[in-house]
Amino acid sequence: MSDLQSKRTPWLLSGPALLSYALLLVVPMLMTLVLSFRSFEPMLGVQDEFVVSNYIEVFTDPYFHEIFLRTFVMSALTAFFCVLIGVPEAYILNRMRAPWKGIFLLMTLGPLLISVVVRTLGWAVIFGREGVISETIQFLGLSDGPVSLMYTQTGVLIALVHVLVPFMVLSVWASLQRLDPETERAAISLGASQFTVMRRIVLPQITPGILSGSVIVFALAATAFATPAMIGGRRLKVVATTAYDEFLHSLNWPLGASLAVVLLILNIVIITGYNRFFERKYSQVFES
Amino acid sequence: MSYLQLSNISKHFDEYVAVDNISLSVEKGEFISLLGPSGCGKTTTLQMVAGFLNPTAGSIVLDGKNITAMKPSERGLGIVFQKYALFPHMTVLENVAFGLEMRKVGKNERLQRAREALELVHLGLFIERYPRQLSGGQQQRVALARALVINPHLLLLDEPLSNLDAKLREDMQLELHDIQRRVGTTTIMVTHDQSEALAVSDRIAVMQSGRIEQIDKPFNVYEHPKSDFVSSFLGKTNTFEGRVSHGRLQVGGQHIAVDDLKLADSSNTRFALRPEKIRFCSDAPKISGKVSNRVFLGSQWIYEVQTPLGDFLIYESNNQKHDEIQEGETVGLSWDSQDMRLIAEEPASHV
Repeated sequence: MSDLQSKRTPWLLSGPALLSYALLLVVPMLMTLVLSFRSFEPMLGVQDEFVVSNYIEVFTDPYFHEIFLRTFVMSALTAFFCVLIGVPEAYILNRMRAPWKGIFLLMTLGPLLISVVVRTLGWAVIFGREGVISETIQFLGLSDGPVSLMYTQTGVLIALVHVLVPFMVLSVWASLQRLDPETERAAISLGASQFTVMRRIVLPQITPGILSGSVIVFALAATAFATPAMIGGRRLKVVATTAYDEFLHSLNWPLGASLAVVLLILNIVIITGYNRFFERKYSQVFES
Repeated sequence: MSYLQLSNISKHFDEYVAVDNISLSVEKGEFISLLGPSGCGKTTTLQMVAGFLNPTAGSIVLDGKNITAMKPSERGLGIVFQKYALFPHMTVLENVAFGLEMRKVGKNERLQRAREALELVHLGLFIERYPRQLSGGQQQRVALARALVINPHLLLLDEPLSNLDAKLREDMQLELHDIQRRVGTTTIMVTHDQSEALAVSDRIAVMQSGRIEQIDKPFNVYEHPKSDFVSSFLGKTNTFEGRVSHGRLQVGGQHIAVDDLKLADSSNTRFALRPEKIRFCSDAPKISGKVSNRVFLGSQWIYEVQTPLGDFLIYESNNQKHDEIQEGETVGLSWDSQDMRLIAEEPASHV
């Protein structure tokens, strides 16, 4: 094989994937970027000129500030609760015996096979004025009228945590596989209690898994559309649903595009910053 | 009573009997090896002593206290795991100090004692490193220091040297022996490596199928194996069988004088003969055979000789003055009758 040919082969082999990647991801993103710098006239539609007014609007209007802040807080809380639920879940799953281990793992990860829309609809049924929660509370006499978690921050949060917790379990599960169970025994033999083993031996070793899991969950929560749209609706907008409304209801495509671009950039900044911070903190221990 | 006493210990896993009614007494300061092939129950026995497994039957008494049902965290034993099981997120010093921290030893004292333990295993310069920055041999030493620093009642070693390369393993064998002598901790080591067990232990318990076949000093176990299994598991051995009558052993048409062994007549007798006990000789050989293979190992030669008694393995130190023996050559073999070990005997039936 000639030198030229051997240099070309990897490119030819990865060509089809590269092409579809470029066509389906890079091009639409570039078009969104270009679109975000266009102006919009309510009567005339998108104008073919270069302006930064959309960005100025996004950065100065308190209405958008509130939406961005809400999105950030909700994503951070979702990641937080996913850690709280997903870490013990993964640990317990990992210690189960066959066949229970397999059955429960399937039960945990199975929902990933079902559409987010379906899973969120389930919550809508539970949260509604005539839903299970409302009926139960009224039956117990805790409230006079119907109670609804629909269109509330709590409702969106519960549904998001439920939808995203499998990603946390997967991520922690992966780092638990690398954990040498003998280190737990070693600590026990040295006199550590079960709680100390958990806190001093297990948790520090699965920290990379928890960190990457929380990055995944945060990113997915910040960009989630279906769940906030169905539970939060118009009354509780997040960035993704706002951008959608700008595109489809106000028909202000440039403003929607600039919202999307700002969300993307903020997400990248937050995630890389978070990664950098923890990588530096743990590099001593986990580089290999 | 002995310092550590295992009495009639058994462990069943459902139908499978991993350890079958074994008893073992260990004196204070003694170094005992549990030696056997995989699946012989040696690791299960160690885990029951450590407290990670509960015996199905029997009792374990340590220093007069019955610890059979005690939690592993309360037994106060030092354990060196096969893969060391160092805490990867802690420095070497923190690893070693962990056991003292659990014992609520003050910070200054525990760091001081951890440093001393690391000096003992010659790792005084590596205390700030993380385990992954150390070689296998160094990790092994950290694990040993971590187990010893708590002044354990017992030191348990689970195949401690099996992950090291051959050269390092020999060095560590000597060092392990030396450290254990100096510290004087009663030690139980599990191993499948006979040379390791021979090198470091005061006594060896040879195990097979969940039972102890023989327990004795290394020299005795090697020189006076009580069973076929022990003789073949510890070192190489040549076995052959024949019929004894009137002070002569008849094997495959050959007659070998064994009158100095004072054997009763028997129909079927098995003998074991160590390869290093056989020597080449030109006059009055016991048997003769043809050299089929030879290997030079530096300090010694290994020969394979086809004889009427079967294939014989012969070790000869590289210190012999006779001419070089070539493959295919016919040689005479001899040995002292006392070196033949009787391992099974059936009294002569009147045929």
